[in-house]
Amino acid sequence: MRQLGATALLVVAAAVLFATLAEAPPFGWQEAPTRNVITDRYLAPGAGETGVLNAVTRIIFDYRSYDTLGEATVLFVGVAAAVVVLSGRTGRFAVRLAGGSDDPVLQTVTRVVVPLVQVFAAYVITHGHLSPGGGFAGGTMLGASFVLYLFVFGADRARRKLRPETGEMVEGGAAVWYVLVGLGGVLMGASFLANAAAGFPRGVEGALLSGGAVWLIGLGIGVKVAATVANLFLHLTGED
Amino acid sequence: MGCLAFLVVCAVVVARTRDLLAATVVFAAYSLVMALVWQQLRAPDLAITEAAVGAGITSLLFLLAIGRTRRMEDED
Repeated sequence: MRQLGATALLVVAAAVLFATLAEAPPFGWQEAPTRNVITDRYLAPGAGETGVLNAVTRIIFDYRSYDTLGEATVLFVGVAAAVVVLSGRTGRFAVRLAGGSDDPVLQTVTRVVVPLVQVFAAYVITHGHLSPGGGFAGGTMLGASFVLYLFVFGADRARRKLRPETGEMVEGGAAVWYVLVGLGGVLMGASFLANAAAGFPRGVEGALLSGGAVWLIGLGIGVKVAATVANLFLHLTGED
Repeated sequence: MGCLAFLVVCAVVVARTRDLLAATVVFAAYSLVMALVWQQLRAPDLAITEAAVGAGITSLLFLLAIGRTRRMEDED
């Protein structure tokens, strides 16, 4: 009886949702009520007032930079919580992963792949204002290349490449770097995290060194996310 | 359309299976196809992030978490 009631309730809820969806404006409709002066300004073609060509990066590192600062904090807290919850117990499987692999095929492929991934990650991070991607995506790739190294060559060798203390220092330092760039805006007489308004050079549209504070923040976020991922896996495969 | 159907099937399988390792693998496949869908919706930024975070880091994280706990979900 209870199950029947729940099913009926779900069917009604689904019917309401689908009816609403049927009334929604079509995808990409120019006259949609959500398209107003804000959208037009944020998504204006060309580099515009920020000097950043990629509209997504323009929004997350300039117009909505304050939100991104909070996001970076969420990432940090999330990793801290995961380490606290999972670092006490070590199963056999995790120990085996931490031991690495003796397979020569795996080791050779890793030696070839890791540098390529890292070069691409550096490209994605530094070109976030021009092409798709940016600090978050590129940083994840950089971190993932380290995780690949860790799983193939073992936790001990990975710890020699990047000591956990160094990783934590880099992660915290990158977060401070973000705040410092934001305070730079205040120092130059504009608001916190201001970009062009604070006098950060916009540069030539489409050039590698353009976008002012967006470029600096993107670099910081890339380093921070990479360190976060590396730290997380170093902690989860370690004994402590 | 085929991609979307694949996503629905993957989501149901992830929710129903008791083998968490299998669920992780299916979830990685879900993320990879989701990245293709983002690309088709002309959101390349999201596609890159979905492929790196969803298919890469999240799967590895689940893998390690399973390694530290249990592989099979409890029957209750």
